[in-house]
Amino acid sequence: MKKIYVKEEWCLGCHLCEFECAYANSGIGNIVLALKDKEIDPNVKVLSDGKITFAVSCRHCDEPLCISACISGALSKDETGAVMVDKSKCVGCGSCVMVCPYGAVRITKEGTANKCQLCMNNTFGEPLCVKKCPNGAIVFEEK
Amino acid sequence: MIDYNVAPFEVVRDYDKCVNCRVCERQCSNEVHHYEEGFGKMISDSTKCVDCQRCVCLCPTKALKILPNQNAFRPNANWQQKYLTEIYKQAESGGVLLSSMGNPEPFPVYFDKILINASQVTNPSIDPLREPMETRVFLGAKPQTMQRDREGKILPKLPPRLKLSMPVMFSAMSYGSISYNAHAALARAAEKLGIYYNTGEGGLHKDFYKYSANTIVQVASGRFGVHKDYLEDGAAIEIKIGQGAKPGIGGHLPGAKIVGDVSKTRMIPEGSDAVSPAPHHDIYSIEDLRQLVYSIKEATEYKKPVIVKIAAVHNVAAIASGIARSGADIIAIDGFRGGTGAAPTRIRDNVGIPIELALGSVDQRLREENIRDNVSLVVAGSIRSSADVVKAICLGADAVYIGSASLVAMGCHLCRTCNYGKCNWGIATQRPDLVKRLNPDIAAERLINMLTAWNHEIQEMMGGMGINSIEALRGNRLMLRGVGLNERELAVLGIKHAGEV
Amino acid sequence: MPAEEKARATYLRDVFSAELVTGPFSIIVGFDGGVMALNDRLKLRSLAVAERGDKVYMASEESAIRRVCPVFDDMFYAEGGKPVVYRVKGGKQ
Repeated sequence: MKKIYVKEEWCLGCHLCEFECAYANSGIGNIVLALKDKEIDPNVKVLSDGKITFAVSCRHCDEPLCISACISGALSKDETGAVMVDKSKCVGCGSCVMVCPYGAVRITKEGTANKCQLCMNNTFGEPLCVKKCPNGAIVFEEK
Repeated sequence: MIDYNVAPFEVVRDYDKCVNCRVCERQCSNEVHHYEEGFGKMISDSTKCVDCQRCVCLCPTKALKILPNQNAFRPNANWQQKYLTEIYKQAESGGVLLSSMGNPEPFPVYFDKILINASQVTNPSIDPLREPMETRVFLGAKPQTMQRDREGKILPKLPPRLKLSMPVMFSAMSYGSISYNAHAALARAAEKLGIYYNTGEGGLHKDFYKYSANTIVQVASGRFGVHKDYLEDGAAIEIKIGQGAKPGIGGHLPGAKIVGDVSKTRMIPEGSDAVSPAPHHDIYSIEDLRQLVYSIKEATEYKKPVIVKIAAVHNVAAIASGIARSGADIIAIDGFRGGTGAAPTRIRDNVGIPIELALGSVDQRLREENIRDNVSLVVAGSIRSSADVVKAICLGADAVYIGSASLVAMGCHLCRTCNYGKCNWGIATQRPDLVKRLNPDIAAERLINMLTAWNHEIQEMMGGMGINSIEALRGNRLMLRGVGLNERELAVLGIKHAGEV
Repeated sequence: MPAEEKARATYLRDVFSAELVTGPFSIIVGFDGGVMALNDRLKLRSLAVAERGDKVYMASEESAIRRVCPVFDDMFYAEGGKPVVYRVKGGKQ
């Protein structure tokens, strides 16, 4: 299964992946309308310790701890192996947030869990952070 | 003290499109943009902008553009604004003005006044999609005599040569003036394409020895990084006598760029300015050059071709004639439009001659003296497209070197501020946070794409002329016609005017 | 091509590169003692050769030969890049 991998030696900490992710998942076709005057809450976050920068998003683990922890069955693996979120089932308990070792899941302002779903849940169909990274630091490949 | 400096550029931001993502702020090494918390919007300090176009390219909503600063001095055809601002700078600092990249002044560009032929009816063109089109080139001296064995069969003994899959090589750009990642991209692309890249006068980094089959090592007047393994590790050795951007003087790399690996590769202490002397201090006559050529050949067991690189100056034809008799295998001529990491502005803008004229004159002179076969000619000094390559070959070159064009392929926007060492594209800098911006995988792919495209274009143009092998193009001046050139220019180039049969 | 032949062919191609003729051509060259017909490497033009008895006819078109000699023993077309040489009986070798 193709997953998103980050090459930290090429990450420039420019944060473009965050904004493109917010745009991809906004449901709005025009990027200006999608992002203007909005506080973004993207599925990928750029972390830095001052020396190394790195974009963190859901690892779509082979044995997802979040799915085991989910009390309402909102998290599940689809036929490709990607971990998807069904917001209608989510009760906002936050168990998935607590068990994820990567901090890749969060509870959004709407009160439900959200995380990277490889852009398969939006019109782009293919991860936009990968496409828009200016330095090839995020790749979408099979390993 | 009055600040006479006028910002050359103005950053224009469309606030309707700006989404405050701050990419421009994070990616500008000149600190032009920043997010002002109190106002809730991005502010730009245009005085620091060098028009490198990094922010413009990265902005996700394309909200930025850079315009020339419309603030204008009173128009004056003679005292153009730049002469005034340059005097203000010198009155303030007392220093020599430094510039980067090639001569930007409006001298004539002869490539743009030369047109290429195409065949019709009397001599049909060839379809490059159906017939084999050969762009493979050999560089090196041709043997003077043919030897046969006892049965009369030819003995195929050739002097050492370079084999190129197409008549283009990457020009010399030193490690120090450009980054480690830029060199990595050039080396990888040269290997993949089957051509060569040149180390420049900064020596060869240990990590690139594995590309030795595609490396030309340069021995410049400062002899930076020259030791036995260095010579062994090149496919050819280039003695740099001069460079098109700064004929008559040597290279200059400020101490700030001589750090870490750059200092180790050049074999000089960190922080010391790397100033190459103007002449090679052991070459003061043509006989001395011959001596150096042969010492290098001895040191490498006569297995590698020796290139001598000169700048195009007034008597370049006579100089080339001397070099052709000195034992060199290839002569590289760099025209006055050639690029540089840093050169005194006055020398870059006023010294040297155009490569087209130099090439026409050298090729004709060597043919007249019957020594054209002693050497191959490689030219440089602003080859910008495949059309320039074809025109250069028709004028007599065997191959071309591309310097600025390769950097542009990797992202350079010719902002011409390489000498500050803050290249936003990760090319002309040694700052690790900036060098990181040039991913060699991406850069190498771009170089390969560009030259693959150029190769197809060259084949298309050749096919159009009814030629299917690059050898038939070399020196074929009948394939060129000039437009808007006077008698003298046509004579020096050796071509006819458009309309003449 | 065997390695030795390849080395020799590369040598000739490299040393005499300036003498390479490209583009379509059909030529007939007379020399002391004979005639040679040659087509370009890519066979972009036609070149017909016909034999009748002790005579040989060469032309770029078959029709030209038939006009002069309607009946002949053998007719073939030159291969691209390969010279067709005929020597005159009793001529210079």
